[in-house]
Amino acid sequence: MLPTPPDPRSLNPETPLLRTEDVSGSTVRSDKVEGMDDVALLEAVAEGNQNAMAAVFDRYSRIVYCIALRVLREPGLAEDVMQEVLLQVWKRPQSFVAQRGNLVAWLSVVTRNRAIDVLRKRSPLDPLDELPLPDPRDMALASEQSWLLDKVRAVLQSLPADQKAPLELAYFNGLSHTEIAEKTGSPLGTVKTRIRAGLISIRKAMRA
Amino acid sequence: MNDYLHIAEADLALYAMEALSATEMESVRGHVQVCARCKEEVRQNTLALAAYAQTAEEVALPDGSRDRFLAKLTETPQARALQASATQRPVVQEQERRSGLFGGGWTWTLAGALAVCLLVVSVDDLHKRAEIVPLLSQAQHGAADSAQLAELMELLTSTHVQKVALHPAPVSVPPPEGRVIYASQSGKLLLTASNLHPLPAGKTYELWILQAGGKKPLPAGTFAPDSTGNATMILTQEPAGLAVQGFGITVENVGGSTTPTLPIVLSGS
Repeated sequence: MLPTPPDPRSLNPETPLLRTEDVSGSTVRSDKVEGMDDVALLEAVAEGNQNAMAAVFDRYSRIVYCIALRVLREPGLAEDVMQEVLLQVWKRPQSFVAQRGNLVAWLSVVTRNRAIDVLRKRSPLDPLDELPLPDPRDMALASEQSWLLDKVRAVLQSLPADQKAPLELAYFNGLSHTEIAEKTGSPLGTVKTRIRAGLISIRKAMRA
Repeated sequence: MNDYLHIAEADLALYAMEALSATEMESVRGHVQVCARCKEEVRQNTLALAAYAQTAEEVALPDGSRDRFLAKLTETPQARALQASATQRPVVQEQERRSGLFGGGWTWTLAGALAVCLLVVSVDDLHKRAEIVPLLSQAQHGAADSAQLAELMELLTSTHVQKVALHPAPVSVPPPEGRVIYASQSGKLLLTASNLHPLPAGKTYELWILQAGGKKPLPAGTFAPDSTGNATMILTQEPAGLAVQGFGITVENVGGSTTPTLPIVLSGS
């Protein structure tokens, strides 16, 4: 069954559908908002629609959690990061609505960065709300997410080990290039070049 | 670290990963804010890293995480403020105001989102965007029916669709090409094609669903390219639940055929 246009009541936090009991219990009605695209969903979140925020959770919590877990390898910590990142969307939706950027890309980058902060027990280098959303034109890429990610996965599999490892150590393990150089025994410049080369390969795959 | 005009690209890659020291991060950030070239490089890197992040292995959410999140949501100052205001303002009046504001805009929002999605469905470069210009224009001007837009949005964003690139039969220049997105569960299908050759009077292109197991090809619909060789066809009532092996396009008499006539102009599986 295809989604029907949202019931206007579902966009109003003051209607019975959206009263406090809806979101404090486990029976949040998100059926009215789950068919919305990200822009409409974020506009509803900006209106204070808690069902819309629940729909954002349903749509992106898994990828956010997976990224956090990939970095932290600890379910409890990963869930904390997931909550923190998604609550940021709830607390500051206006910036998303105004920029109309690529939400999943923003969530992905912010989640990874926040998870690295937790891993390294450091204060965030960038406050979460200061990372700009990727350009709106890139929202188009998100709509073909699975296709795109298949291409990225394929290129990652084909990357030489000496490019793949530094990229992974830098991005998912949060090691600095100096630490990677020490760990791999490679010169600092070589590490930088290999990380950049791996990144360029991903960029090419995304454009292919 | 830089060439006196721009930050080294390797350093911009590390910057996008926040893999530089705090001092270096600050230095690069200052430059990026005022340098369009380096800013664009960081943007490209950020997008690539976002995709890289999403390759993380899929795992299930911990039990109860949704409830815990929603509970936390209600504790935020924003949620509390909304609850407080809800008890102070007349519900009906506010509902009418918001309903009028947003209910009428929903179609436009959906149309805009559809426009963005359509831009990319079969688009690898700007030239191919011409394939969907007519449809895009329709969507942007709200001429398309909202129900159809909703259906298309679902089709374009669904993860349960087959996306098939169609390749040319040899050999023509420029080669025709096409792409099909088909949802077997719902029977919805989107075809975009480009560089199609003009047809003589009385002839039309026809799309075929090639079924698995050697079953007879099913005619999906006929279409004609525009003057630039581009064509778009949206079908929402194709048979559902088919075991589809691929798709093909042939040239048939106007009105269509029940069996494909060789040669197959485009095909893919």
